[in-house]
Amino acid sequence: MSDLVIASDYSLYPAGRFDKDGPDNGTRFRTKLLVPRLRLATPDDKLRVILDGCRSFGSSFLEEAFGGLITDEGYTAQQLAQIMEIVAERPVYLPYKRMIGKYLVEATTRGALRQTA
Amino acid sequence: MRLHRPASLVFTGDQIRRVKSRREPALAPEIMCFDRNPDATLDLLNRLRRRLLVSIRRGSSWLPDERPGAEAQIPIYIDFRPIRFISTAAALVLAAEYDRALQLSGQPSPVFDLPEWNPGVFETLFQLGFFATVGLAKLEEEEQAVVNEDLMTLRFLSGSNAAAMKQADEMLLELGRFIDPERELPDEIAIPLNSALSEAMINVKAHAYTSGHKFQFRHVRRWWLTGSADRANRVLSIVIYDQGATIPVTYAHLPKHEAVKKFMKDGLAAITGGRSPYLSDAVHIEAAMKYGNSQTELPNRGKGLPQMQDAIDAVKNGHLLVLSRGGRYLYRDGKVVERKTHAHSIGGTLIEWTVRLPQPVEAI
Repeated sequence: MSDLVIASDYSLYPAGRFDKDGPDNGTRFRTKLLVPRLRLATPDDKLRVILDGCRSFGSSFLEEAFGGLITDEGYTAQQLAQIMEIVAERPVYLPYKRMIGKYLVEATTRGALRQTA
Repeated sequence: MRLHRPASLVFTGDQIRRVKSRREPALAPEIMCFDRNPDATLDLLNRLRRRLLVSIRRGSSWLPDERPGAEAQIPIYIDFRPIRFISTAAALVLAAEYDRALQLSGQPSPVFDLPEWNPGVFETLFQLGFFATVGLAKLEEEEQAVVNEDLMTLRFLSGSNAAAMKQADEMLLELGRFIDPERELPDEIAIPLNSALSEAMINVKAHAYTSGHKFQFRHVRRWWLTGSADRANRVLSIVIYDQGATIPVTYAHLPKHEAVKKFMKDGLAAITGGRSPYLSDAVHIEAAMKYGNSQTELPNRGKGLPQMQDAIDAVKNGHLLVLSRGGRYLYRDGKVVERKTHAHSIGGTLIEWTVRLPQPVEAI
């Protein structure tokens, strides 16, 4: 498995969705770092995204960075489950891991609703 | 026309002038605090806001030009000498008003009878960095006597997005060190508060200064942030303020899910009496905190406000205060403990997180 440690590979303070929100935003993380790393991941060599070490996790960043994998990058939740693992080793980061899971489900639901509309 | 007692005023360059006011000065209340004296505090800040900005709108100067042999006259001023206590949150809003006026006009606004201000109030404002907003940066280079060693207020930050998160985190850690010099502020407190703060900054960028709103006063598209610590009671607080359109205004215009509509309908139906234009503000704030800025077109957005409240659940032993326009919302111990309306608008949105740090566990 290969690790993407957000705190050291990207920013201690990831925040916001777009460039106007600040330099360490979710769109930049997703497009410049996360997606390129996911393209190299396989079910036998998952990408572990480590949350530990960051000093803040705003919902805007998490939704844009991870929910955006489904809404903007075309992944499905099943595909992501095969190639990506969200890691929160310390309990203080567990709520953010849960938020990511929720955003992936919501993004999937929104996509399904759009298709049936 | 009767002229009142002369006042001395200090402004940029530390120039002191004696002026006479044509009218009795408006007196600030003894207690400037949104908890202990909210209506008088909000009223004073409203009057100050008008006074600071009316001269900018007219393009005129606060003060007439100095003429030899003639005493300068001003129509009126606000007298801060009666203030005996100013809370961190009220001090931040005060500083934000003067800072806005400075940014809009390029000229600091004057303050009056500075040597006669209450020492404790002076100390709070000095630590906050208020005097830089009135052109008295030189004052801040001077050593000031400490009035209360158990209280600390941090110099305010101001920004327009979340780029200042590192500085905000350092602010929190400094507050923690003031209370507990031997221990770093626990991550279980710092990370949820930082996360809530970053969302507050993003929210200001995304919603507060919307182009679709007709603002009563010109704005500068910024937020202002400070923190304070009370060592004796082991309490720290972080407060952020913006001069934007306010939650009640922006939330009222958002399309909403059915659950949100029902919540608001029930909440508004429960309001009785009064004809204040702000009567429904607290209901709007509560709905926004509970459901987020949910929009049917963009249901993935708008989760920031609930996260600001979740931070209080995460840190335990704390409370969240939101003042937006005339609405007041207080959340503690997993529930809304106060929802009410004030007679005056705060001129934007103020969010304050207050946390009591646990007693340190001594090693055996």
